[in-house]
Amino acid sequence: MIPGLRRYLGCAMITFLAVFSGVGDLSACNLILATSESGKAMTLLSSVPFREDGTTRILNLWRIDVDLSGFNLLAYLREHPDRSDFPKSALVLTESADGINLEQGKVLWISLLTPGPQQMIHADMCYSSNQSVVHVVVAASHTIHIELSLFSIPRKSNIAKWPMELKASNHDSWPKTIAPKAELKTIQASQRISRIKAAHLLEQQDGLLVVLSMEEAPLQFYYNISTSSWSKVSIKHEKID
Amino acid sequence: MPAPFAPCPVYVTLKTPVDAADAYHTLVHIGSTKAKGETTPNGVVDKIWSEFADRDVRRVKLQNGKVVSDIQMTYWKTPSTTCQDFQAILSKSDGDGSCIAWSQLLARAISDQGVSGAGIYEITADTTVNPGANGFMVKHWRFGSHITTGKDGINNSPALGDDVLYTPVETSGAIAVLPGANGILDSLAKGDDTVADGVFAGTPYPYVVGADAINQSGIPGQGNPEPPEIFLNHFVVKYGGSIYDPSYGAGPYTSELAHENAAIDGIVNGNRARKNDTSKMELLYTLRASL
Repeated sequence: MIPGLRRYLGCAMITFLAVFSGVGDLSACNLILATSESGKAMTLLSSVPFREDGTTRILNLWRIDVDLSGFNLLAYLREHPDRSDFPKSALVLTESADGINLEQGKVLWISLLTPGPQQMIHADMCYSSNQSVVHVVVAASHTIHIELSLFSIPRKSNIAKWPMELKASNHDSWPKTIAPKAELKTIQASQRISRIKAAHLLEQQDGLLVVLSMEEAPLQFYYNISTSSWSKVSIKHEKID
Repeated sequence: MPAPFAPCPVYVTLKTPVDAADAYHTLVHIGSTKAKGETTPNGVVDKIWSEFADRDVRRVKLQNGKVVSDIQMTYWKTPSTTCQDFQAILSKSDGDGSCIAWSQLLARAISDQGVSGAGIYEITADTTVNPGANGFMVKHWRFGSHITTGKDGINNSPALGDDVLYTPVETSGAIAVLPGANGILDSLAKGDDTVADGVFAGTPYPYVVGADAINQSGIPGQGNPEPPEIFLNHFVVKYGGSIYDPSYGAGPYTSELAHENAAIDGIVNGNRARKNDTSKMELLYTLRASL
């Protein structure tokens, strides 16, 4: 049992109900915090409920802080002199056994984040229309640079039990990460990019649409799955009569 | 009877602005007031720079038909909301922006006077010089010595001053004492303990950030005495062969190496660090925009 999850459950139920009633704003989930056994902060980035075999399940995308600091980091680096850093946080995709008991379930995917100074990381997920695959986008940005990583995770994936603890002492036995399905590194030097505030991922036709919310106009990138190619999507403003 | 038109300021520029349709009041005001009477592009740039060099750059606004000074714009003062673009720093309520916003401000103020030739350059650690480098340490840092235990593996050295006793005295451990917040080793090696330079001495990145590479009071930025101490990248303006660093009001520098040595103390690879080698270029300057 993760003690902090108790505090999360109330909010999760509110979110769950809101989504099913069609008024949900999942961005509000970013405000929900819980703590793991080791006291690390957990943030729910996105949540997708679905029905299967007559029961309601929930896919959750979490960010869990795992960083080491001070002498703990020094001790880790001395034990691993070939390394220069320790992950700051982990993105963890989980599926709960049902819509209520979020502390029972499985881990489908994990990605470790080691952002550089001032680099911002945003992530989102979406469910494929046939419910067989979960797509996750990780957007890393700093100044004029944007790096997108797309992951496609089979719903049947099961790499660990949930909840799990990510302790530095057993770092080498953490579930393995997988390579992204697609990556895009882009420099937006010729236009205003301002600060990325959120990343959103949508399945669209035969591809995935990444929408980066900014202080100014959003940026959109489309990944065509069949051609494995990226394109930047211009936003047309059409008058609505 | 009200006047048919509200009074508004009229500015004289050296030449037609490079992008007259996209000129901004604050930037035209800075250029036209600071460079009043100047007749050459270089003279205009020198006078515009004087506004940035004092690290007190303010927006202006119209109030009752008069131009009045508004808030001071700042550099990385509120990191969670620091904007990345000059239009945002000119409009957002706190006026806080990053190095690219500040470089755009300077380059735009120059081009709004009809002076072309300013370039905005991105600076990154040069990985061909230092493989694995992913950032640089903005002054000021101290790389302090530390005390290691001798053959017996026992710490014989108590910590003095603000030094940190990493391994309790008379217990075993490789590192005995680390420098404290001042980055200077105040303690003396006792018994068979020895003073060493770099927790990972002999490797490309011998120091560890926060352990024996200690951040000190930094170079002040625009409206912020203590901007962040490590960056992945940075932006500056080049004009006429000189480098201007508007985020810090620093420069002009006559060469990239002069700027590098004035700005940074070290290069990082994650949490590992190395000292800046002042004899060679370790940063890469890449042109990103020309105005």
